[in-house]
Amino acid sequence: MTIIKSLSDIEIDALKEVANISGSHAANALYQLLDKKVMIQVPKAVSGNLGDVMIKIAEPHDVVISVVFNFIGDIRGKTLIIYPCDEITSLTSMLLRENHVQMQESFIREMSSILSCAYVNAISNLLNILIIPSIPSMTLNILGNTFSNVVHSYGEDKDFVFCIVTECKIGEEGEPLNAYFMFLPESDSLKKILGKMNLRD
Amino acid sequence: MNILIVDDSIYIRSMLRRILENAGHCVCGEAANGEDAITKYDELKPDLVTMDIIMPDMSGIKAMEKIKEDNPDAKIVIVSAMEQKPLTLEAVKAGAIGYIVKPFKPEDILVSIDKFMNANGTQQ
Repeated sequence: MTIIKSLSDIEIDALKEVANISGSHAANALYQLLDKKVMIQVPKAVSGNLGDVMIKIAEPHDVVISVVFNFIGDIRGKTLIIYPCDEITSLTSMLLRENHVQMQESFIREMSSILSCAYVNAISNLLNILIIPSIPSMTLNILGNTFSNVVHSYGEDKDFVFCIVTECKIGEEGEPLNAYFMFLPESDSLKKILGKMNLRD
Repeated sequence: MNILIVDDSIYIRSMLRRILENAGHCVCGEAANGEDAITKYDELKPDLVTMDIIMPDMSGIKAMEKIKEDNPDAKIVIVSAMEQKPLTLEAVKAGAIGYIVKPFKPEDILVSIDKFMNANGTQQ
């Protein structure tokens, strides 16, 4: 049995706190980049099959832009950032001086890279571990396919995943952009994180 | 000052170019990966290079090591979203004269570049 199925309430709470601290750092970095209000919601720890995890984000047929980073170092896993397609397009139209496709793609990649790096930098500093993200991979697809592709390459138990989801609201109240940041450590890495927090041997 | 910008993001290259040119610097070239950075450095011999770390094919730190092998006086400032102590130490060990964390404001770039260049005794 993987560690994911045996996480205690205290362990899940501790992991959510790590996500809360890291998500706040990521939100601050995004605020500096965009000069727009960025609020994060309380992180949700989700474990279960693909459908259970996906339903917390949006409908499976919703079209989304996703950016995935594999990370290596002392721990391994993925970060996945999901933007509803229409909303991110509105944001790029509003922010970019040169609003052509190449610049839009580059902007979304860079924004995601800054978010992801700020998030893993905070975990690294908190737990004193080294985490190195890969070059981002960006896709436009329906959410269901996006998730299938990510989970397909996820650790040893593809039918049962664990992730921490942090929802970011970018922009003023009324019509903010919602972005979903997901941290998916591999099972062994989850054990290492909990060990660093003195919750597992 | 002639500056070479190395970053795989066209968005960041364009932003850095605007900041540097508005401040009176000359952006003599851009490179989108480590290999390209080495070629452009040899060709342009810039006064300063801004170098991203995470890029396809060859990382910024590897590219910096290779540039410094043939050009020990090369002035390279890392501009990266990565802010973990082991990486910043590795960058300094490889010869970076400074480290700027993304995201940045225009003044962060200009003040940092002035500071790093002055600390290295370079006339601007």
